[in-house]
Amino acid sequence: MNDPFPKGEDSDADLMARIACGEREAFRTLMDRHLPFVYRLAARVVGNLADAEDVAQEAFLRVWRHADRFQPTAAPFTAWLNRVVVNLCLDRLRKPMPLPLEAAPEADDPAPDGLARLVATDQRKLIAAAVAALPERQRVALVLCYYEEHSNAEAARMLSVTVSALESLLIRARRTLRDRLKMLAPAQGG
Amino acid sequence: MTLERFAKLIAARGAALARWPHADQVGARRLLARSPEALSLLTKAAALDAALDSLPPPDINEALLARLRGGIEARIDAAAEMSGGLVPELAARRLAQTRGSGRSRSGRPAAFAGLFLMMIAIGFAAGLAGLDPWPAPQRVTTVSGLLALTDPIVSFSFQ
Repeated sequence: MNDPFPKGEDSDADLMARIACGEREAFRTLMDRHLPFVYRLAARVVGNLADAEDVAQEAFLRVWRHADRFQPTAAPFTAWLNRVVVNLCLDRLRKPMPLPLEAAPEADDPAPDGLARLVATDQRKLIAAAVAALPERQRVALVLCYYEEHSNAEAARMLSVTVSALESLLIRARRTLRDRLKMLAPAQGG
Repeated sequence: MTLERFAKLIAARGAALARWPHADQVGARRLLARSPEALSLLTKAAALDAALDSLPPPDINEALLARLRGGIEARIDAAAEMSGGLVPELAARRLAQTRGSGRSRSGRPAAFAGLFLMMIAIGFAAGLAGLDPWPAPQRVTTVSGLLALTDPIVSFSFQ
């Protein structure tokens, strides 16, 4: 999801200008370029793969519908798209979610280290559940800064908060995780 | 860098200094070299980082991407058909804007000019025919006459 684009190809801003004129081929190119990132971000934030697919689809529908509103001088396309995805994820997280996480299907593991793998799998589920239980803005802040490695300033813009507020969200998220995961492993902290 | 600043950064960004603001990384390394407290904070944060890193990234494969692309294109097509044709909704909007702006640029002045000429022609023709296209207002000198011009019901009650 970087702004630099392959040599010889249209920039994101050029593609958006063509999409604003209804060019489907430009839309497909832009979608190919950014769809994996959009889905990954959505999946990490909403935690539910079906919802992540919905968010990714809705994000690109908005790209198609609102391409004429995009102003390349105001912000790079990636920042604009990030903000769209974050807002869609927050909308989704505010709705009641009966299942916070999708459990991967498990099979019996006959290997000698199968028990260790099962323990590791259970631990991952607990960690994922702890992340999924974070308040939505804390979760988005953690995903944007930790997993997607955005700067505090970038993440703050996407969440429409100040950098100071973003730092506060991050600190609370990590503190909450540390407290919850102490039950899992007393040595963990941070 | 102070220990307080270090503690705040590590509480927000975790133990991987590469994830910290670039300007703070050098100061953090210097502090770590001389402060056991900072090193202890780093160790604790690294444990949480390890837990977070144990979560695998979402599985993204070509079948998933193809399904997503297909779904997006189908929804665009459906929206276009609901709007009354195969023209994409956004393109239709822009087409309408283009037509609208074209009228404002060229059609509207021409319409005003035509109206102006037509009014001159009517006035000229009426003058030749001895007609007064704008007769003087009817003189009203009584209250009942005034009411008769404005409200037939009230005027009726006065008559």
